[in-house]
Amino acid sequence: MKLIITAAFLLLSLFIQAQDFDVYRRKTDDKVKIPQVNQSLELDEFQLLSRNARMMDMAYAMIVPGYMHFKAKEHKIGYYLLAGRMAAYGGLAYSYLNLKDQGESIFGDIKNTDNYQIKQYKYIGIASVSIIFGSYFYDWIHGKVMLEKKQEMIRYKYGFKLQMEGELAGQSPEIKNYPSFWITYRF
Amino acid sequence: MFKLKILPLVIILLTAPFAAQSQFSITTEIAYLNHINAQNRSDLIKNNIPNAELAWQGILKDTFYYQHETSAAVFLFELSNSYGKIKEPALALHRLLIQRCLYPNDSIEKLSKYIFLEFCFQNEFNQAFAEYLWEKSRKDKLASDYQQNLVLLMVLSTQMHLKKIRPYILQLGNQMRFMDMDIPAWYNDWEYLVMIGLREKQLKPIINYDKSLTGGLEIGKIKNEKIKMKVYRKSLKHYIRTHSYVHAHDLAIAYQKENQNWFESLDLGIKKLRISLHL
Repeated sequence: MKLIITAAFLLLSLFIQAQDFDVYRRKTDDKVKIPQVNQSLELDEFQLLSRNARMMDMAYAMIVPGYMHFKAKEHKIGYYLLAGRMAAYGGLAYSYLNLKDQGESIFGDIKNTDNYQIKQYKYIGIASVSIIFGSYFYDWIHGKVMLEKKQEMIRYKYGFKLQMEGELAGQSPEIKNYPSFWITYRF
Repeated sequence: MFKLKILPLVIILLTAPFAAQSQFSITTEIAYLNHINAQNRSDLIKNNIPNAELAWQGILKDTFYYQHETSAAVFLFELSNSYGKIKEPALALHRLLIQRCLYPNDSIEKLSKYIFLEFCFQNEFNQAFAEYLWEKSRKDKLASDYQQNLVLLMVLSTQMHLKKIRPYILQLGNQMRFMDMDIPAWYNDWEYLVMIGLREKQLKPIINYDKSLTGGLEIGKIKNEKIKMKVYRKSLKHYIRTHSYVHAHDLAIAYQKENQNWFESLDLGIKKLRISLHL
């Protein structure tokens, strides 16, 4: 069975193209290319526009609590998530160690029904696990929504203003300017 | 004969003006402010505040051009509305006051009395003070000289004693220096006291708006004993923080001559120790 699953995954890797791998031919070096920045554009806005919620961020958000919110520049929520997840890890460790001493586990059936504390430790453990997963999904989903919302707001603002500037300069936004000639030089 | 060598230069010269990404015009900023104020969306308004402030800086920079333009008045009125909508009455009132003093406009004056008074009350001003601000900044009572109106604006702004508008008063003070104006003595005192971190409540009895006064602030001559000691302590703290130990040492000697209670003596002792470690 294991062999079949391994083979299936290996075969799958031949067909799918993961989001975070560069499979396209790179024509320019992104790190060297310097964009034109409008004088009104702030660094925060520039950073928000150049960020995307990608598949790899799901993994990063697992390791760094609040990662997506930090990425969306929602630092306050990010720190709340960080603190919440840290507390949950603490609770989980506390619950696990106490239950281990009693010969119990967090999700298993209670063997010693006389000790009422076991139930408490179990509740702490389950609550901690719920917080860990809950905070992770909240971070990923809400963070992504916040990032997109902020990007929309920036695009809305500059879209309006750039259109106004075009109209003021007597240029209709529908009319696009194309270069009259094009030279390509290849080695 | 056309020389190919100058072709790149010609291309650069022709395309350079289009490559520059300039700041938006005031007309655009007004249109957008109007657009978002009508939508009543605080998130959109908050998002646009840094841009609007940048545009305001642009107006201040070209102040000689804008003082005869309606656009500056309309822009400030719309910006004030924006601040009002995001529950920032201090900034809203200050923007409206700037408009009234520096870029007076009849239509806005007729339209904005109720709004002006509303912002005053939101800042916990009483009716008398609100009326005083309105009357002092009325268009028919303003001077024809822009610089005199700027000084009036500074006086009214500092009299409001609102902590939030401090950076914007300092911005106007820089404008006075930029325009090579005679800086009033009281403004220099105010700037110093704000720099050392004195509270608005404590500023009130110290600032003397008398035009005949010249020279800098002498801490030893402050009549209110409690505030005098406070200014000494804050000044010492400021100079230690900025690593100006020689000046802090001189100030500590002057402070030592004053009558101090046990707490102030202890505080001075610690500060002197900190200074001596660096001298």
